[in-house]
Amino acid sequence: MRRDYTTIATDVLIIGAGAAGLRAAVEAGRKGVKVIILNKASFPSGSSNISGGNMQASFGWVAGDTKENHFRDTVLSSKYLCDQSLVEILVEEAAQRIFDLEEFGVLFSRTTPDRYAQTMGGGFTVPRSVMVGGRCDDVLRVLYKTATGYGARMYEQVMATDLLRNQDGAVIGATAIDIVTGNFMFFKARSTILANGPCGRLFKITANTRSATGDGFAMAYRCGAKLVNMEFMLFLPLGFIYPEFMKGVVLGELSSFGENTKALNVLGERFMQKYAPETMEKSTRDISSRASYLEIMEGRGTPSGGIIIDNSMNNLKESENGPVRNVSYYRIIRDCLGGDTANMKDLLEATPTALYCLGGIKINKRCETSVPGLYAAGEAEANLHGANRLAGNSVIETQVFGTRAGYYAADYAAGVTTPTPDPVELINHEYEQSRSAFDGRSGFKPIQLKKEIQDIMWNKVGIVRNGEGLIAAIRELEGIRQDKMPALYLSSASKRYNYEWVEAMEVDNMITVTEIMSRCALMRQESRGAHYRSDFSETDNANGLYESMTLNQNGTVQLSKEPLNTSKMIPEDAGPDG
Amino acid sequence: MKYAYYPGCAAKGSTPEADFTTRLVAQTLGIELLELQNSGCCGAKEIRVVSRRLDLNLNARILSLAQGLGLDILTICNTCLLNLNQANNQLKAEPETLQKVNKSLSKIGLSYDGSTNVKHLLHVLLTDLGLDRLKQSVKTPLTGLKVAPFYGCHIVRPVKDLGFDVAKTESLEALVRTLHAHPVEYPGRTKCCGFYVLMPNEAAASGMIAHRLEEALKADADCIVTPCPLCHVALDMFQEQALGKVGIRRTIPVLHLPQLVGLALGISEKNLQFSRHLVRVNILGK
Amino acid sequence: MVKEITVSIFRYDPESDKHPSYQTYSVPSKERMLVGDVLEYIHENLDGSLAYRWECRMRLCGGCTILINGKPGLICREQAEPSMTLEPLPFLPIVRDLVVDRKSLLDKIYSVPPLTRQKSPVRLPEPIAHEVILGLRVPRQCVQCLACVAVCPATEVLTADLFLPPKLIQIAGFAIDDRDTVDRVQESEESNLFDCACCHACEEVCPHEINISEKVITALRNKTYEHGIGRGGRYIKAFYDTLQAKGKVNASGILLRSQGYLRAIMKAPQGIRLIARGKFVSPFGKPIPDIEDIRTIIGPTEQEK
Ligand SMILES: Cc1cc2nc3c(=O)[nH]c(=O)nc-3n(C[C@H](O)[C@H](O)[C@H](O)COP(=O)(O)OP(=O)(O)OC[C@H]3O[C@@H](n4cnc5c(N)ncnc54)[C@H](O)[C@@H]3O)c2cc1C
Ligand code: SF4
Ligand code: SF4
Ligand code: FES
Repeated sequence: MRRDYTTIATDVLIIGAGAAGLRAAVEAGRKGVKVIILNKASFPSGSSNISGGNMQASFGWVAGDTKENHFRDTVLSSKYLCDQSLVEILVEEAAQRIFDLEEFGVLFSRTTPDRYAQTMGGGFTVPRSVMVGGRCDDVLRVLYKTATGYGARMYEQVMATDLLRNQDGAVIGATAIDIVTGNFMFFKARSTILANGPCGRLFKITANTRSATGDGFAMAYRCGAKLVNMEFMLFLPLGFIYPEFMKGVVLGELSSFGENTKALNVLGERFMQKYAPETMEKSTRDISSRASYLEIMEGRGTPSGGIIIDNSMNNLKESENGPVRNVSYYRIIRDCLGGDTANMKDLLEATPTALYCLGGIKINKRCETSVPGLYAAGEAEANLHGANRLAGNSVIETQVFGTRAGYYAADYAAGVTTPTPDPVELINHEYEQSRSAFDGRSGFKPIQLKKEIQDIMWNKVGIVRNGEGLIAAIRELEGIRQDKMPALYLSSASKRYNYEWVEAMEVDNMITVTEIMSRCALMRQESRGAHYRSDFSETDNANGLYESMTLNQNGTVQLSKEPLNTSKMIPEDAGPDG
Repeated sequence: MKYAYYPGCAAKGSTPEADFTTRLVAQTLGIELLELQNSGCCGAKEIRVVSRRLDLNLNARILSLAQGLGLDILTICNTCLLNLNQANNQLKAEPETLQKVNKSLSKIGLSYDGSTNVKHLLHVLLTDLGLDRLKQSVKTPLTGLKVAPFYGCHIVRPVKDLGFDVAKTESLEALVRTLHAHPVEYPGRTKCCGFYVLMPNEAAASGMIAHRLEEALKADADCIVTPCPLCHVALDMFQEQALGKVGIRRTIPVLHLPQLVGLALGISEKNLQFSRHLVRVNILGK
Repeated sequence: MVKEITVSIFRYDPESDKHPSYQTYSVPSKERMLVGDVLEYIHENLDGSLAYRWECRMRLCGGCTILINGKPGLICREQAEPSMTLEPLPFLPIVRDLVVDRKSLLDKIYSVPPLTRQKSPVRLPEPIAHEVILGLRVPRQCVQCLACVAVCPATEVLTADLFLPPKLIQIAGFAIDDRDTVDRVQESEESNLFDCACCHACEEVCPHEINISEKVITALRNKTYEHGIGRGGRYIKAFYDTLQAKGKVNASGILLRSQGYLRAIMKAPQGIRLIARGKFVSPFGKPIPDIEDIRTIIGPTEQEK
């Protein structure tokens, strides 16, 4: 018997309305195919909406600003672990994608009327990031209007739950739940793009938004797509520590407060002296994150569990959208320090925070995944950044690869001519699956399991890892899956905006992705970029130069080490820096 | 206590009773008012639409006339208060703008140096005179009178332009208490009377007026008191029509701030000019 | 002793409840607690069935706005108070508890056409001064949180169909952009720009502190005035003319100038009552004595933006 669901058919289905999904929608829409976008949160949402909006592109306006340098900086920052064929595309197409955004109506900051302001970042040879006044939300609104202008249609607060495949193994769309009404839906599509962004919510402390639970990685894994480099998670040294609700929200970078910022532990020591005496507070994100994480973990953090930023030597001012210091961040800091009466020179407390998932769904230059009919774009996809990402290389990634995903997915859709009947069996199965959470009567609430997972990940698979901890983490996660997940229950039987229900489905995805992440981290017996093992603290170029690949083998995680694409730059060229 | 008195257009036109009673109350309380003769309009919300510069010119002229007298301005109109303050803040913060504005003023033999302060009658009663002194002058305590304090918008918001949060500090309520009357609590106290929509869309304004009156009626107030003549125009002149449209037959008298104060100071009903109101003031003896 | 926050929350499931009700919770109080912390505490420890929404935690998604003690605010921005009543935003269909369906309003806001140029820019980057961009960005900081809608007296009487501040804000974002070719004056007129009561209530609750009255309402009205069309444009012109003629303003003069004699005469019954009470100012009265001064400083030569 067919369960109670609605089928909605489209040519291209896009999951996730961040910058990547919307850019794909514009491109597919331009090609005249029917486009539907699903978004779990209410729009606008995701990392794109809260991002600083820095986008790297080489325009060649200043000496040394070449595509080659952008390429080189990116590869060096990746510690050689990126797919260089993707980096080549990035540096080649970045400037054009910025121009596209300007055509759609984005307001980029200028130095002179016909030059964008470009800023520097750690690891850049020249200033290269353009920006939109320090915010990115307007970019999303512009993209949304442009996409709907081309006929794309968005279903917001609709959560994709799984991808479905036909007998040939090609993806034919996704099942989904309308969070507002609780209705079950099948979005039937000729091609599908996963653009559901990051997974920071796997960790206790994150800068990511509520919806960033890594659903896309889990869905891709379940339907047989390869995931790459899933051990790499990028952390930022400075997130808010209170109010609790905002824990992990990006506070800024030490450098963004000004020249004279000091980072202190609870004993008042400038602890960077121990970790990076030469670069001190100006060290790269991975080094400063690790330093503050260790200080806190080793008991030298503040009672609220953070480090201290001494900003008293600087002069923070509210500048109306100045190109560098963004006024809305200023206000959040001001309010955190006491609102109108705030003394902006007061000490701030901060904690490292999970920011960005470097790993993701393996794609080729056409954004194809390893499964026919399935594409990926934006933070969901990889491997552009390898072991570490340059600031400002990610929003531009959404534009470059979003465009490609939309283009090729539309092409693919146009080539699918045979009509697909609803795979009723599969849909029914998904339907049952999604409702099973309502059967439980006692045991664990989804939020409890979510918190348990987040604690495990933060403590054992976080900024500093070791073999023992990782093995323990895998065992504990396994325990949650086997013993606790079957005992889930929900407080309310209502299907309308029942976020516990959403969380129950998220926990399922989270368990899948955290297990993969832990296993990949255990496999990588070296330290490289964002992945740091205290038991293997050196970079091991002899054994570490591989892409870790995850595949679903009949329900079990299968890992392999795949050769890297080092088409242009090989580690030996790198000199002492390598 | 001596001020350059700037009543504004409304108190000189539609609500002459506000002007008249302000003078009486000031006299009784020993506040000296030197009227800025010929001061003209502050531009309200309209002239800035034509050009911000014209608005600045108008207000700078008023400010410089007061400067000539060496006095702070006392106004009895919320919009004048906000406009004068906004212009003053901008002229103080932007020397270049002040220079340009002074170029205009020089054509009429004036110039402004940014030294004038602007106060509303409410501020003067609260801080310069002080509620203690006001209390001592009360002759007819308004015991038992339930008053709905209606601030009007431009004396409340934007706080950063006005520099003082009269609503949060419940100053009108405190003043009502000083007169021994009882301030009722109701949701409308800092909401909008709709005055500025009267011209472009009378029906919409009428709706706003009705909402505000209903809120006061629901709180069982005997009367409304407002520090703004424009609110008075909306709530009094248009009351019958606004309430009529929503089928309410009760009415509620609306008093100017100086009228309420005057009542407690023992000024006669005749001198308070209640007869000029369109809604009968039937609160005496309550 | 742990201090407690007492919070009374609106509960309603339109599918199963006949009426809304209020439920009271006690939450241990901490330093620096946001309303969001209180709701999260309830979700985790007291009652998982309570529906409320958030996404970004940093004032950028606009989805978490509720009424806190009757005043609209973002749960990721407003401090918790010792005693609170939390309710959903007014005007909108309730999904459940504190969650409202914003779609109808968001669709209206997003229906404003984007920046539309005559032809594609020939040269990129398009030459624009950075200062101009800073100005253009002000209205574009709006995150559609709808807090302003909940306090707007014009929306209250006209309904959001006819008056929606964030829609005017969207329009302003493009109207002041010289590259744009859409008729934003027409758009603003249709969105009843002149029904704004200039009350500043919206600014007071805006999480991005957007100066709506200056940067949106006045800026758009200025465009309309310069076009000299529509009821709004005529009204501003009448006001300006009156001021130039008399040095002060009065209702009758403006009415006469903006709406013509006929309307003015139709208002006669009320006019007669006003005359009787000494409140009527004749439109034909004398100007103020220093009228020449006023004319000098507000003449067309003094105009400058
Ligand atoms: C605070 C912060 C600042 C940053 N600053 C910069 C910067 O300055 N420069 C830079 O280059 N990068 C920056 N980044 C990174 C960059 O912003 C992101 O990598 C990028 O925006 C990701 O875009 P996306 O479209 O892939 O994903 P997102 O923007 O996260 O969008 C994903 C969307 O998918 C939806 N979704 C998730 N699951 C589902 C599901 N199951 N069904 C349906 N929809 C779903 C989500 O609701 C979300 O809206 C920053 C990140 C953060 C967190
Ligand atoms: S100023 Fe205008 S838009 Fe803002 S709340 Fe008042 S009436 Fe509404
Ligand atoms: S103007 Fe401000 S209050 Fe209104 S919707 Fe936009 S952000 Fe919210
Ligand atoms: S959670 Fe996004 S605005 Fe509050």
